[in-house]
Amino acid sequence: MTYREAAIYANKHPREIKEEFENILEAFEEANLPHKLTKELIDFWLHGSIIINYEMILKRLKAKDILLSIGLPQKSLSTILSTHATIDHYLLLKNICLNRVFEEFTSDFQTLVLEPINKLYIEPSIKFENAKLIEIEKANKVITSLSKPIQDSINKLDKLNKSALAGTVQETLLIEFTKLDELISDRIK
Amino acid sequence: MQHQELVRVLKKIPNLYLEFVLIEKSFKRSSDLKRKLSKEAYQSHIIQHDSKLKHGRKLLQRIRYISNELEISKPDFRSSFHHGTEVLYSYVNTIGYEKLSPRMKKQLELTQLLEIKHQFQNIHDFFDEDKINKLKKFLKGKH
Repeated sequence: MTYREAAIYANKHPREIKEEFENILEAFEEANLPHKLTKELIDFWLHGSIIINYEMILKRLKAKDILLSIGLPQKSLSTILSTHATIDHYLLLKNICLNRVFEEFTSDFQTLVLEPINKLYIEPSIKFENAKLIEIEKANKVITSLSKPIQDSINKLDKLNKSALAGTVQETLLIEFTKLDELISDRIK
Repeated sequence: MQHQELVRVLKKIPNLYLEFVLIEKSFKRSSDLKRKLSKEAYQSHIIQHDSKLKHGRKLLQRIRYISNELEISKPDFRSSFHHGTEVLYSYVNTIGYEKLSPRMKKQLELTQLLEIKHQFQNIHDFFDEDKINKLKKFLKGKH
Protein backbone atom coordinates (compact mmCIF):
# COMPACT_ATOMS: atom_id res chain seq x y z
CA MET A 1 0.00 0.00 0.00
CA THR A 2 1.42 3.38 -0.94
CA TYR A 3 1.07 6.47 1.24
CA ARG A 4 -1.53 7.83 -1.17
CA GLU A 5 -3.67 4.68 -1.01
CA ALA A 6 -3.34 4.61 2.75
CA ALA A 7 -4.46 8.23 2.91
CA ILE A 8 -7.61 7.36 0.99
CA TYR A 9 -8.29 4.39 3.26
CA ALA A 10 -7.77 6.41 6.44
CA ASN A 11 -9.38 9.59 5.09
CA LYS A 12 -6.33 11.69 6.00
CA HIS A 13 -3.69 13.68 4.20
CA PRO A 14 -0.78 11.64 2.77
CA ARG A 15 1.71 13.90 4.55
CA GLU A 16 0.14 13.04 7.88
CA ILE A 17 0.40 9.33 7.15
CA LYS A 18 4.00 9.69 6.10
CA GLU A 19 4.92 11.53 9.29
CA GLU A 20 3.19 8.87 11.35
CA PHE A 21 4.59 5.74 9.73
CA GLU A 22 7.98 6.74 8.30
CA ASN A 23 9.98 5.89 11.41
CA ILE A 24 7.96 2.77 12.18
CA LEU A 25 8.56 1.30 8.74
CA GLU A 26 12.23 2.20 8.92
CA ALA A 27 12.57 0.38 12.23
CA PHE A 28 10.70 -2.60 10.77
CA GLU A 29 13.11 -2.71 7.86
CA GLU A 30 16.08 -2.61 10.17
CA ALA A 31 14.70 -5.54 12.16
CA ASN A 32 14.09 -7.61 9.02
CA LEU A 33 10.33 -7.42 9.32
CA PRO A 34 7.92 -6.88 6.40
CA HIS A 35 7.95 -3.11 6.01
CA LYS A 36 4.89 -2.23 3.99
CA LEU A 37 1.90 -0.21 5.00
CA THR A 38 -1.12 -2.45 5.51
CA LYS A 39 -4.75 -1.86 6.36
CA GLU A 40 -4.12 -3.66 9.61
CA LEU A 41 -1.38 -1.22 10.58
CA ILE A 42 -3.61 1.75 9.82
CA ASP A 43 -6.45 0.20 11.85
CA PHE A 44 -3.99 -0.25 14.67
CA TRP A 45 -3.15 3.44 14.52
CA LEU A 46 -6.71 4.76 14.17
CA HIS A 47 -8.79 2.30 16.18
CA GLY A 48 -6.28 0.54 18.38
CA SER A 49 -7.14 -2.97 17.21
CA ILE A 50 -4.00 -5.00 17.75
CA ILE A 51 -2.07 -6.42 14.80
CA ILE A 52 -1.85 -10.19 14.72
CA ASN A 53 1.87 -10.71 15.24
CA TYR A 54 2.26 -7.88 17.74
CA GLU A 55 4.26 -9.87 20.28
CA MET A 56 6.59 -11.29 17.62
CA ILE A 57 7.25 -7.81 16.23
CA LEU A 58 8.12 -6.47 19.68
CA LYS A 59 10.47 -9.40 20.18
CA ARG A 60 12.26 -8.70 16.89
CA LEU A 61 12.52 -5.00 17.74
CA LYS A 62 14.18 -6.00 21.05
CA ALA A 63 11.59 -4.13 23.07
CA LYS A 64 12.73 -5.79 26.30
CA ASP A 65 16.20 -4.27 26.11
CA ILE A 66 14.82 -0.82 25.34
CA LEU A 67 12.36 -0.90 28.23
CA LEU A 68 15.08 -2.20 30.55
CA SER A 69 17.30 0.71 29.57
CA ILE A 70 14.49 3.14 30.45
CA GLY A 71 14.46 1.64 33.92
CA LEU A 72 11.51 -0.73 34.08
CA PRO A 73 12.06 -3.81 36.27
CA GLN A 74 12.73 -7.09 34.50
CA LYS A 75 10.05 -9.05 36.36
CA SER A 76 6.95 -7.32 34.98
CA LEU A 77 8.27 -6.87 31.44
CA SER A 78 6.74 -10.02 29.98
CA THR A 79 3.24 -9.03 31.15
CA ILE A 80 3.64 -5.49 29.84
CA LEU A 81 4.76 -6.69 26.41
CA SER A 82 2.00 -9.29 25.97
CA THR A 83 -1.24 -8.59 24.13
CA HIS A 84 -3.17 -9.07 27.39
CA ALA A 85 -1.76 -5.93 29.01
CA THR A 86 -4.13 -2.97 29.26
CA ILE A 87 -1.99 -0.21 27.80
CA ASP A 88 -1.99 1.81 24.62
CA HIS A 89 -0.31 -0.86 22.51
CA TYR A 90 0.18 1.33 19.46
CA LEU A 91 1.97 4.10 21.35
CA LEU A 92 4.29 1.56 22.95
CA LEU A 93 5.13 0.01 19.59
CA LYS A 94 5.67 3.40 17.98
CA ASN A 95 7.99 4.64 20.69
CA ILE A 96 10.04 1.46 20.58
CA CYS A 97 10.38 1.97 16.82
CA LEU A 98 11.41 5.59 17.41
CA ASN A 99 14.05 4.45 19.86
CA ARG A 100 15.38 1.92 17.33
CA VAL A 101 15.96 4.64 14.73
CA PHE A 102 17.52 6.97 17.32
CA GLU A 103 14.66 9.45 17.50
CA GLU A 104 13.24 10.93 20.68
CA PHE A 105 10.15 9.54 22.38
CA THR A 106 6.84 11.23 21.65
CA SER A 107 5.67 13.81 24.19
CA ASP A 108 2.75 11.71 25.46
CA PHE A 109 4.79 8.54 25.98
CA GLN A 110 5.43 9.44 29.62
CA THR A 111 1.83 10.22 30.54
CA LEU A 112 -0.02 7.67 28.38
CA VAL A 113 2.25 4.65 28.60
CA LEU A 114 4.86 4.80 31.35
CA GLU A 115 2.68 6.20 34.12
CA PRO A 116 -0.15 3.69 33.70
CA ILE A 117 2.40 0.88 33.49
CA ASN A 118 3.86 2.10 36.74
CA LYS A 119 0.51 2.29 38.46
CA LEU A 120 -1.09 -0.85 37.06
CA TYR A 121 1.82 -3.28 36.87
CA ILE A 122 4.93 -2.20 38.72
CA GLU A 123 3.57 -0.72 41.95
CA PRO A 124 1.26 -3.69 42.68
CA SER A 125 4.07 -6.15 42.03
CA ILE A 126 6.41 -4.28 44.40
CA LYS A 127 3.67 -4.21 47.01
CA PHE A 128 3.13 -7.94 46.58
CA GLU A 129 6.85 -8.66 46.87
CA ASN A 130 7.11 -6.67 50.09
CA ALA A 131 4.11 -8.42 51.59
CA LYS A 132 5.67 -11.74 50.58
CA LEU A 133 8.94 -10.91 52.35
CA ILE A 134 7.11 -10.08 55.59
CA GLU A 135 5.17 -13.34 55.49
CA ILE A 136 8.35 -15.32 54.80
CA GLU A 137 10.03 -13.80 57.83
CA LYS A 138 7.09 -14.76 60.02
CA ALA A 139 7.25 -18.32 58.71
CA ASN A 140 11.00 -18.41 59.29
CA LYS A 141 10.52 -17.62 62.97
CA VAL A 142 8.17 -20.57 63.44
CA ILE A 143 10.43 -22.95 61.54
CA THR A 144 13.65 -21.99 63.32
CA SER A 145 11.98 -22.43 66.69
CA LEU A 146 11.17 -26.01 65.61
CA SER A 147 14.68 -26.90 64.49
CA LYS A 148 16.12 -27.34 68.00
CA PRO A 149 13.64 -29.97 69.25
CA ILE A 150 14.12 -31.86 65.99
CA GLN A 151 17.89 -31.94 66.45
CA ASP A 152 17.51 -33.10 70.04
CA SER A 153 15.22 -35.93 69.05
CA ILE A 154 17.65 -36.99 66.30
CA ASN A 155 20.50 -37.12 68.80
CA LYS A 156 18.44 -39.20 71.23
CA LEU A 157 17.24 -41.61 68.55
CA ASP A 158 20.76 -42.10 67.24
CA LYS A 159 21.86 -43.46 70.61
CA LEU A 160 19.29 -46.28 70.50
CA ASN A 161 19.95 -49.74 69.09
CA LYS A 162 19.69 -49.32 65.30
CA SER A 163 19.34 -53.01 64.41
CA ALA A 164 16.33 -53.37 66.68
CA LEU A 165 14.63 -50.41 65.03
CA ALA A 166 15.20 -51.67 61.47
CA GLY A 167 12.08 -51.74 59.32
CA THR A 168 9.83 -49.94 61.79
CA VAL A 169 7.93 -46.71 61.47
CA GLN A 170 10.27 -45.17 64.01
CA GLU A 171 13.22 -45.66 61.68
CA THR A 172 11.50 -43.96 58.74
CA LEU A 173 10.60 -41.09 61.07
CA LEU A 174 14.25 -40.75 62.04
CA ILE A 175 15.20 -40.57 58.36
CA GLU A 176 12.53 -37.92 57.73
CA PHE A 177 13.76 -35.93 60.73
CA THR A 178 17.31 -35.88 59.40
CA LYS A 179 16.02 -34.79 56.00
CA LEU A 180 14.04 -31.96 57.62
CA ASP A 181 17.04 -30.88 59.65
CA GLU A 182 19.23 -30.74 56.55
CA LEU A 183 16.60 -28.76 54.65
CA ILE A 184 16.25 -26.21 57.44
CA SER A 185 19.96 -25.74 57.95
CA ASP A 186 20.65 -25.51 54.20
CA ARG A 187 17.87 -23.25 53.03
CA ILE A 188 16.88 -21.06 55.95
CA LYS A 189 19.85 -20.43 58.23
CA MET B 1 -22.13 6.35 14.24
CA GLN B 2 -19.89 3.34 14.60
CA HIS B 3 -20.68 -0.38 14.74
CA GLN B 4 -24.01 0.13 12.94
CA GLU B 5 -24.38 -3.56 12.25
CA LEU B 6 -24.24 -4.56 15.90
CA VAL B 7 -26.29 -1.67 17.27
CA ARG B 8 -29.04 -2.33 14.74
CA VAL B 9 -29.49 -5.87 16.07
CA LEU B 10 -29.27 -4.78 19.70
CA LYS B 11 -32.09 -2.31 19.14
CA LYS B 12 -34.46 -5.17 18.33
CA ILE B 13 -34.03 -6.81 21.71
CA PRO B 14 -36.13 -4.58 24.04
CA ASN B 15 -39.18 -5.22 21.84
CA LEU B 16 -38.96 -8.96 22.51
CA TYR B 17 -39.57 -8.37 26.18
CA LEU B 18 -42.68 -6.29 25.42
CA GLU B 19 -43.97 -9.13 23.23
CA PHE B 20 -43.39 -11.52 26.10
CA VAL B 21 -45.49 -9.35 28.42
CA LEU B 22 -48.31 -9.32 25.85
CA ILE B 23 -48.28 -13.10 25.58
CA GLU B 24 -48.26 -13.33 29.36
CA LYS B 25 -51.43 -11.23 29.52
CA SER B 26 -53.28 -13.36 26.97
CA PHE B 27 -52.29 -16.54 28.77
CA LYS B 28 -55.05 -17.32 31.25
CA ARG B 29 -53.39 -19.36 33.98
CA SER B 30 -50.32 -17.17 34.16
CA SER B 31 -50.52 -15.98 37.77
CA ASP B 32 -51.22 -19.49 38.97
CA LEU B 33 -48.23 -20.88 37.13
CA LYS B 34 -45.96 -18.05 38.21
CA ARG B 35 -46.37 -19.13 41.80
CA LYS B 36 -45.77 -22.80 41.11
CA LEU B 37 -42.82 -22.71 38.73
CA SER B 38 -39.38 -21.19 38.92
CA LYS B 39 -38.77 -18.03 36.90
CA GLU B 40 -36.98 -19.79 34.06
CA ALA B 41 -39.41 -22.69 33.85
CA TYR B 42 -42.32 -20.25 33.79
CA GLN B 43 -40.77 -18.27 30.95
CA SER B 44 -40.05 -21.31 28.84
CA HIS B 45 -43.54 -22.67 29.53
CA ILE B 46 -45.13 -19.50 28.17
CA ILE B 47 -42.88 -19.41 25.12
CA GLN B 48 -43.55 -23.06 24.37
CA HIS B 49 -47.28 -22.47 24.70
CA ASP B 50 -47.06 -19.54 22.28
CA SER B 51 -45.08 -21.47 19.69
CA LYS B 52 -47.73 -24.22 19.61
CA LEU B 53 -50.56 -21.80 18.82
CA LYS B 54 -51.66 -21.51 15.23
CA HIS B 55 -51.81 -17.72 15.23
CA GLY B 56 -49.26 -17.07 17.96
CA ARG B 57 -46.64 -14.39 18.00
CA LYS B 58 -43.85 -16.88 17.13
CA LEU B 59 -41.63 -15.40 19.80
CA LEU B 60 -39.36 -18.41 20.06
CA GLN B 61 -38.49 -18.34 16.38
CA ARG B 62 -37.86 -14.62 16.49
CA ILE B 63 -35.54 -14.91 19.48
CA ARG B 64 -33.62 -17.64 17.71
CA TYR B 65 -33.38 -15.51 14.60
CA ILE B 66 -32.20 -12.43 16.49
CA SER B 67 -29.67 -14.25 18.63
CA ASN B 68 -28.31 -15.79 15.48
CA GLU B 69 -28.04 -12.35 13.92
CA LEU B 70 -26.34 -11.07 17.06
CA GLU B 71 -23.75 -13.80 16.81
CA ILE B 72 -23.01 -13.12 13.16
CA SER B 73 -22.84 -9.32 13.30
CA LYS B 74 -19.36 -7.94 13.68
CA PRO B 75 -18.02 -4.59 14.93
CA ASP B 76 -16.26 -2.22 12.51
CA PHE B 77 -12.82 -3.03 13.87
CA ARG B 78 -11.32 -5.66 16.15
CA SER B 79 -11.24 -5.27 19.90
CA SER B 80 -7.91 -5.70 21.67
CA PHE B 81 -9.14 -5.96 25.25
CA HIS B 82 -10.94 -9.22 25.78
CA HIS B 83 -11.18 -9.42 29.55
CA GLY B 84 -14.03 -7.00 30.00
CA THR B 85 -14.33 -3.35 30.79
CA GLU B 86 -13.28 -3.58 34.43
CA VAL B 87 -9.58 -3.77 33.68
CA LEU B 88 -9.88 -1.03 31.09
CA TYR B 89 -11.60 1.26 33.59
CA SER B 90 -8.63 0.94 35.93
CA TYR B 91 -6.45 2.13 33.04
CA VAL B 92 -8.85 5.01 32.32
CA ASN B 93 -8.92 6.04 35.95
CA THR B 94 -5.14 6.34 36.20
CA ILE B 95 -5.03 8.74 33.24
CA GLY B 96 -8.39 10.46 33.25
CA TYR B 97 -10.93 10.19 30.44
CA GLU B 98 -10.10 13.56 28.84
CA LYS B 99 -6.45 12.70 28.36
CA LEU B 100 -7.13 9.36 26.66
CA SER B 101 -5.96 9.00 23.09
CA PRO B 102 -8.80 8.77 20.54
CA ARG B 103 -7.93 5.19 19.75
CA MET B 104 -8.29 4.14 23.37
CA LYS B 105 -11.64 5.93 23.57
CA LYS B 106 -12.81 3.92 20.58
CA GLN B 107 -11.60 0.71 22.19
CA LEU B 108 -13.38 1.58 25.43
CA GLU B 109 -16.66 2.11 23.58
CA LEU B 110 -16.20 -1.14 21.71
CA THR B 111 -15.53 -3.20 24.85
CA GLN B 112 -18.64 -1.71 26.46
CA LEU B 113 -20.64 -2.70 23.40
CA LEU B 114 -19.23 -6.22 23.30
CA GLU B 115 -19.88 -6.71 26.99
CA ILE B 116 -23.53 -5.90 26.41
CA LYS B 117 -23.59 -8.19 23.39
CA HIS B 118 -22.21 -11.10 25.40
CA GLN B 119 -24.96 -10.71 28.01
CA PHE B 120 -27.46 -12.34 25.71
CA GLN B 121 -26.38 -15.95 25.64
CA ASN B 122 -29.60 -17.91 26.21
CA ILE B 123 -33.34 -17.36 25.92
CA HIS B 124 -33.90 -16.26 29.52
CA ASP B 125 -31.39 -13.43 29.12
CA PHE B 126 -33.80 -11.77 26.71
CA PHE B 127 -36.42 -11.49 29.49
CA ASP B 128 -34.07 -10.37 32.24
CA GLU B 129 -35.21 -6.88 33.20
CA ASP B 130 -31.84 -5.79 34.58
CA LYS B 131 -30.09 -6.70 31.36
CA ILE B 132 -32.76 -5.05 29.22
CA ASN B 133 -32.56 -1.85 31.28
CA LYS B 134 -28.79 -1.83 30.96
CA LEU B 135 -29.16 -2.24 27.22
CA LYS B 136 -31.73 0.57 26.98
CA LYS B 137 -29.46 2.87 28.96
CA PHE B 138 -26.61 2.07 26.61
CA LEU B 139 -28.69 2.60 23.48
CA LYS B 140 -29.96 5.99 24.66
CA GLY B 141 -28.65 8.74 22.41
CA LYS B 142 -27.59 6.31 19.67
CA HIS B 143 -29.56 6.65 16.50
